[in-house]
Amino acid sequence: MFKYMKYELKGTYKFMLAIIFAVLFATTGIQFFINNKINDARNAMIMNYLPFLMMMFMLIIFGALIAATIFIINSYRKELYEDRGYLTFTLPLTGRQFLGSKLVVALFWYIAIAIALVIYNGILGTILFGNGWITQLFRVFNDYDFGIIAINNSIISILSSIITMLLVYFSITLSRVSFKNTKIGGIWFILFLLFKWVYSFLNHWIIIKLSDVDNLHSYMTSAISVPSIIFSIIVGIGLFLGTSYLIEKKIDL
Amino acid sequence: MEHIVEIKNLTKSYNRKRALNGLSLNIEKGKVVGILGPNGSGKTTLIKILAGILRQTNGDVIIDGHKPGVHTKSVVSYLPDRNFLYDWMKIQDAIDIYKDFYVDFDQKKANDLLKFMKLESDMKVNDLSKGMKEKLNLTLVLSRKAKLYILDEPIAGVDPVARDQILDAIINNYEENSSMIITTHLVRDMEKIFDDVVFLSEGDIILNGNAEKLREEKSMQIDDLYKEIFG
Repeated sequence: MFKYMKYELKGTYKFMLAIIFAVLFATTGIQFFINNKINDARNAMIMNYLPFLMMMFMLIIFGALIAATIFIINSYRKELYEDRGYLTFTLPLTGRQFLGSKLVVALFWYIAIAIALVIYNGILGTILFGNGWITQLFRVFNDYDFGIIAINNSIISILSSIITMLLVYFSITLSRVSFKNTKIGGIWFILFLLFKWVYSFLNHWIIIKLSDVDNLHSYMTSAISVPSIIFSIIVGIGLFLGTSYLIEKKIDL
Repeated sequence: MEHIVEIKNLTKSYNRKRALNGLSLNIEKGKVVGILGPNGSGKTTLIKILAGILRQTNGDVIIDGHKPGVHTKSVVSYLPDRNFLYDWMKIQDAIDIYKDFYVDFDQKKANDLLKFMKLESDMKVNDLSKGMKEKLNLTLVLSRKAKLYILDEPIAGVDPVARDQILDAIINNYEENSSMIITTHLVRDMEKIFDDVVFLSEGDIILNGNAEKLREEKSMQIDDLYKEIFG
């Protein structure tokens, strides 16, 4: 599996590094813009358009994640629909090794983008504005509710990202197996939306019905929903095994 | 007689169209077998099933004692009829991936073949001409000491000079104890290397046997026999 991951990384690193550098460049621009305005004594209105700048900041990060996701999805589709599959699927690899490599490398890039963004902007922010923001951040995290929400949402977000990627891989593979005509290859997206809706519906139902909480708000601010986490892990394992099986036993090139 | 490939009642259907029609065939160890037939005869379908990238509708396929899967992929060296390397690769990357995944890959043989084919390891795969890509693909496939080589139309679409070079590479680099299956419709250029030939038409075997015996029995070259059958 690690051997295949090496070639996955080799094939994706140029595009992913370009995304990371583009995002860092754009966020640098925003930080310097804010810094210049703060230092400009004539412009005391910086606080008025700070929300707009923060929104720009978030949009840049969102755009980067979308670009990375499209690239990762296309990379997977190419294995099933283009001639490169003749190399990939004649390597002595099991379906699990192939899918595991794809998934780990995709998650690696999401984490790399996030870490690069946080560390770089943290350092740049400290240089430009001092380390007051770190103290403020710790103060916010010390607040019990916010800390719980942050940890809870982080775990759910990571699990949700893995499930979403697996749903994408499963939908593309199922579409390739079921509809061999490449002209309607886009049908995978409809399958994805359908499966995502079913998963979200069941997950929401489990949170409300099986978790020890009265409503979604109290769930978000209290504790992790164990039944929901278990459900997500079962779905994730099922999707992983199902997709691996389709790849190994059903894909026709 | 030991068989490297055993095929029994193999059928492959695409919707209502049958590409292979209950085909049965055994391939002996150490033999070079030519699968001959016009376009649409089922050659590539058969090859793809053996390579483990296409599933049969019915029937059994056994290669080296196993059904097509991870094991057979590790002992079969397959040359598809298209450029299968990743577009970001340099020749060195292609060599590396073969070296990493196939324990039977022979680096020295690869270097010798690259030299013979006049290919440099720092060349980008996407910048190569069709003939050069064909030579590179064949270099990778022949650099393995595989139990079974499967070459799908190895000389189709290349100029006569490259064709001779590819044929020389196949003859000089194929492992004596291995078996080889070659599909082609360019019979004249390739018939000298076949031990056995199989004539395929619309998914059925219409004639097969030892190439030399067929030449004697029919008093003609395999190429002429091909023209008589399919002409």
